[in-house]
Amino acid sequence: MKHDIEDNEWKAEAPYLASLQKKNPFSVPEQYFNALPEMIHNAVYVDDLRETVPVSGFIVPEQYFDILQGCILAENEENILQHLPKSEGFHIPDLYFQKLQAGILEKTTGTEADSPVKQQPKLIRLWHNDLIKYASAACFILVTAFGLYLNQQNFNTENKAADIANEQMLYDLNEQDIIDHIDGNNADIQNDNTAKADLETYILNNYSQSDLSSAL
Amino acid sequence: MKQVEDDEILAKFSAEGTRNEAFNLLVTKYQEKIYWHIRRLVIDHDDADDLVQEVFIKIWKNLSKFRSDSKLYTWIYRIATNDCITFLNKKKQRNNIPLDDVSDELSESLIASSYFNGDKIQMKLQQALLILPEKQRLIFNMKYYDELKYEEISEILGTSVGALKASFHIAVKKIEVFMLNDDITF
Repeated sequence: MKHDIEDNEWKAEAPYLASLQKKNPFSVPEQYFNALPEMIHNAVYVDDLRETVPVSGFIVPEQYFDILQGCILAENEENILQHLPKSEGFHIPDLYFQKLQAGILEKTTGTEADSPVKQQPKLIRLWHNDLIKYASAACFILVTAFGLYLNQQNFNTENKAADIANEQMLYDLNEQDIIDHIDGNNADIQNDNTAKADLETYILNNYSQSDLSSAL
Repeated sequence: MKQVEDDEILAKFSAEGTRNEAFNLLVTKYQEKIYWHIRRLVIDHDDADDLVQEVFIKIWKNLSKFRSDSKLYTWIYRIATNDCITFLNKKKQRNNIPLDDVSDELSESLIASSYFNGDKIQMKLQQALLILPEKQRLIFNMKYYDELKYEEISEILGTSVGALKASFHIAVKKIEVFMLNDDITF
């Protein structure tokens, strides 16, 4: 009874709050309290396991952590570089990338990029002044003439060399060998004449004059 | 379903063969009460979910040391309350905010929570609770929602009944003013 009075005293001081329906406005995911016991048991199991097997079984090389500290410090120093401004210091001409894109598209797809910059064909003069033009022509003529001269000289040299070689060969040959060679050729001619006489005799013996005249 | 008495749970827990069964019974009996107690303090469901598991791990570890000089549920509430206060303090430290001012962050959690289905008045009441100092909020929740007696709250918090009554009445008045202020709407 005393508790009831004590518990309800505040209602006189806060009538609006007392008039509100006491309701839990919070909610939980579906089936949360059905799954909660299992989650608690799993958490308890994992915690027990952690206490039962406090060491993971992994080991590290001797003085590993001393070395590790040095490595981390060294890496930090390297990282200082990352804080430097990223600019490389290089510059490109104005609107370079728009022109580049337009050029690539034109060469690949044959279309013009939607770049506001119209690419102007670049004119390259072959001869910047008359002096260079005449000098180039003179050089061309000189080179051509020199080439022809060299070629002619080379041809004459080759002919002379061939004549000298032939003379040397004749000089080296034995005179009797030359006589034999000429006689050998005459023998072939005599043989050839004999064969022609035989053929003529054969034709005269085997064919009449009328056959021959009709065949001719 | 008939609730198992705390004495029966403790008796079963003291025997090696029935320890797991006793813990099952304890979880089934107290999980919702502990969850809601924690949830009202930390607001966010995921935080409450983590904390409720931590609380039951502590209960599992320490129940064998429990002496029956206090009631089991006040002992469980004390563990849960201490864990919540520790959690909120860590949250303040982590976010570099004054120790008494975590209300803004909790208020944001409340508005963003997908597990809040109260109406505007309920939202306003929760916002009113968040402007209270932590201990007043704790006492109000235990008295208003959990309907615990001052003696039980005193046992849980280790605060005198007189101090609890004063804190509760101050909290109620602040909430009444907040609720009747039409300028504050959600």
